[in-house]
Amino acid sequence: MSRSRAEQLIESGLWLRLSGDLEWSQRLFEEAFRLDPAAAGAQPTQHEPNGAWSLAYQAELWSLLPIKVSPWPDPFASPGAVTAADSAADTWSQNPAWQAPAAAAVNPVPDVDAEPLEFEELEPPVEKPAPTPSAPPQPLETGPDVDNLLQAAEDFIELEDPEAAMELIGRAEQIAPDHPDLRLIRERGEAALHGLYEDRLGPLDAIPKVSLGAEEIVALNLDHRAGFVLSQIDGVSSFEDLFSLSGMSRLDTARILAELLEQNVITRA
Amino acid sequence: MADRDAVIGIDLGTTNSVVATVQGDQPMVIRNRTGQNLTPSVVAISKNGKQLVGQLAKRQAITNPEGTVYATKRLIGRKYSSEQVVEALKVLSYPVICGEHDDIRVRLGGKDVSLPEISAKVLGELKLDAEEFFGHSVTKAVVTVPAYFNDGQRQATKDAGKIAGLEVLRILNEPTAAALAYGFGKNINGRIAIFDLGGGTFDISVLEVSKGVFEVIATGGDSYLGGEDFDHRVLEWLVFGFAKEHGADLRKDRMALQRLKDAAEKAKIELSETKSSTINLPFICTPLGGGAALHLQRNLTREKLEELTADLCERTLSITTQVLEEAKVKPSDLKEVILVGGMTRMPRIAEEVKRFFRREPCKAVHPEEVVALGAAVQAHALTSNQAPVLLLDVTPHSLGVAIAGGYARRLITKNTTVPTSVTEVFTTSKDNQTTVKIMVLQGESDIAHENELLGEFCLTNLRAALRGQLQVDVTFDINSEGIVSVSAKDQETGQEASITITPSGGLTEDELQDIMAEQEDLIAETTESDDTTARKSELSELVGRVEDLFPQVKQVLTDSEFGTDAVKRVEKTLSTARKALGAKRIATVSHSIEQLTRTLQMFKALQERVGAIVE
Repeated sequence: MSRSRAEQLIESGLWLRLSGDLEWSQRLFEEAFRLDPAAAGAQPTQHEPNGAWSLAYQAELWSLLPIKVSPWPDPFASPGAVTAADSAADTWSQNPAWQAPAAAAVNPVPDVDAEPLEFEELEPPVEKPAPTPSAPPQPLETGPDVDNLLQAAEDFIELEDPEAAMELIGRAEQIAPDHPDLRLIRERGEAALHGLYEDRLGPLDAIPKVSLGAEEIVALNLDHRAGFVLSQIDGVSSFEDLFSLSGMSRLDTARILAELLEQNVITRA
Repeated sequence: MADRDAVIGIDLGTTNSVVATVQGDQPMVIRNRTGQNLTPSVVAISKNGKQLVGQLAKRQAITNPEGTVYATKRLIGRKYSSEQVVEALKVLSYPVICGEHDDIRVRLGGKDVSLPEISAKVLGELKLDAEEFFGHSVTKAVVTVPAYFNDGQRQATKDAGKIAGLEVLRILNEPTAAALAYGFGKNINGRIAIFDLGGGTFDISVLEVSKGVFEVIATGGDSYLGGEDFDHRVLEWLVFGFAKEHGADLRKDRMALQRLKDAAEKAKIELSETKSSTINLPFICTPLGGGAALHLQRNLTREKLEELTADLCERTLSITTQVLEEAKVKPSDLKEVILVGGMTRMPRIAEEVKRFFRREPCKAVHPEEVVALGAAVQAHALTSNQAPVLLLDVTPHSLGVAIAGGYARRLITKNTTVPTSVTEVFTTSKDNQTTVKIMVLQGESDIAHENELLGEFCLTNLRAALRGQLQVDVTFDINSEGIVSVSAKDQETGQEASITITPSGGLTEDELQDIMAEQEDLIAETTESDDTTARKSELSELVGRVEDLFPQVKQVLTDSEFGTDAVKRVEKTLSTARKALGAKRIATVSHSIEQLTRTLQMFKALQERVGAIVE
């Protein structure tokens, strides 16, 4: 995968972070780093040999945040230090117009060799009027952010990580449910995800059986849908039969069965 | 395993069906391919588009209510506009629509399907089970129906057999089949009662068995009373108990409901053998506000089950009392009482029957299998050299004509043994009446329009006379096949008109033929697919051999008198064969195998001729 793809992933990650989804933005950044460690601002510092992001880059991210979030743990931050996120949030709340926060100055990090950040090059976010309480939630306008999310989703499908792809597709759906490419990419994602689960299940004519006793089952943390699928496993019905019996979509059933198999709740007979 | 002319007996039940045969003079049940004796009479198109028949269809019935068809026996052969169907539609979860001839169709998988087709899918499943057992195809069967089924319902059942690829040798009354399974008719004679409490219906019948002749002298019941009602009582008990404990209504969740129904049935069955049963349904539902899924665990005792279902048990006895009274039969007149249907395994039911009839009921044969076993006995008798037991069919309903004033005159009363013939004399009802209209009715009402009109015809050109002066003989004939002929004859002139009423199961002959043709194609494709892989392997090998030899042959051919035409032909044959490797139909594959075999033969002939090819 080229550097440009890594950069697209980073951009998508930024948008996710803006939306408050730290976990998934991190996944995107990590994927971008895996693809191209030399991507802009993505190099790990010598202090972070495990591939973590440079603190300068983190600082850049924090500075973009419009809301208060807990940043990743910073081993260098002194107790009580003000983080870039705090600063950004405060700045945002005080002045609706976009201001470039002095991220590096707020959270100085020794030995960081990253280039100074060029915030001015970024487009300031457009303010939206606050919706009235009675107004139904409106999808955000389709923009390059959704395209990037979808592109990233497609990349994850290519990278055989359909679970990550489906998460991104879900986010894109929230932002722009009528995006023309959504349906197709969702179908691709679901097909890939389905393939992944079925691979985990193995031959679909195999007959699963419950490997735990009644007391152990009760101690599990399952929802009622998994409980239903589990109740249909009788030592006679095959995985294929269970798809017909579950009353759920094939994808949902495959997911539940794959999870039960992974947790050793069931085994192949 | 068995001889090539194996025949089967089928109990096509409302909730479950069973197939049986006779092996070494002993009737036996043929287990289905999942090892069960009973196959649920349920057909479904699952949410992922797969056709399901039997146990799998039943197990997804609640989570897929619109796509699951069950209890079609209550509807088969009836008119859409009939009172019974109107009542049934109130409780059915699948879409039912009116066919072109006031017949019933169900919408399944986006198609409108007739009821004989649905029953045919169940029969087809049983046929496959039997074929698996015998190791060869089975084409002949005796199929049972309730004693009260009318001609249309019997014909619809026969049609279902035809669609499934079965020649129905005989439609046999269920109580008669049960009596046959117990060996009645051979050395036991007298009046016997058949108490049949199945999964969805209750039937009580009295048979007169005399020197190998079986006659149904009374039959009645409730087509909405059966094991499922007992299950429902347990289900309600579980639901209300859970609601009391957790404040959650499990009936709103289809998955929970499916599990409850399965568990209720299982517990009920267990309680026929044990005194108590534990119902354990972990993760039955997730609370409304979220949080960990809730578990259902309850202990049901036999005593509690009997308490929950006491009124159902009483209903069977009150219906029995009514039927016996109508037939003027006292319990003391009966020589034996036979229990039929899985619900009669419930100890309370058996006890109540024993108390009512003041005798120990017959229990030697499994009650849910007894009807199929009897059908197998009859099928065996019909196809073997032994003297078949003489079974007399009876008219399940009265037959008559409409008379002046809108009334019905019954000529043949219900339960009359067929064949039979009855003649009555009628007169004209108006002065100068030159035509009389004969409307043939079936039913028990004295009011003409409350009966079913089977057909009508006119006797014309009568002499103009005062009313009552002309006399017309009206004759009803029913032959042993159940075909009704009605004739009207002017006594004065001998002039006659008549009608023959052939029972209709709702499908026209053309519709039936179309369905059968469609079915045959489907069966052929399914059967072929099993062998296709092997044939494709054969074809693949042939393609390889021809491809290997072709370059040498091509050279020889080009130089020979065969010329380029032969080369082109081989190339085309190879091209077709390569496509056939991806075909689904075995006929396509076989055709290419034949072509390539001929090509190879041609290669060999060429080799002999020019000695140029070494295989």
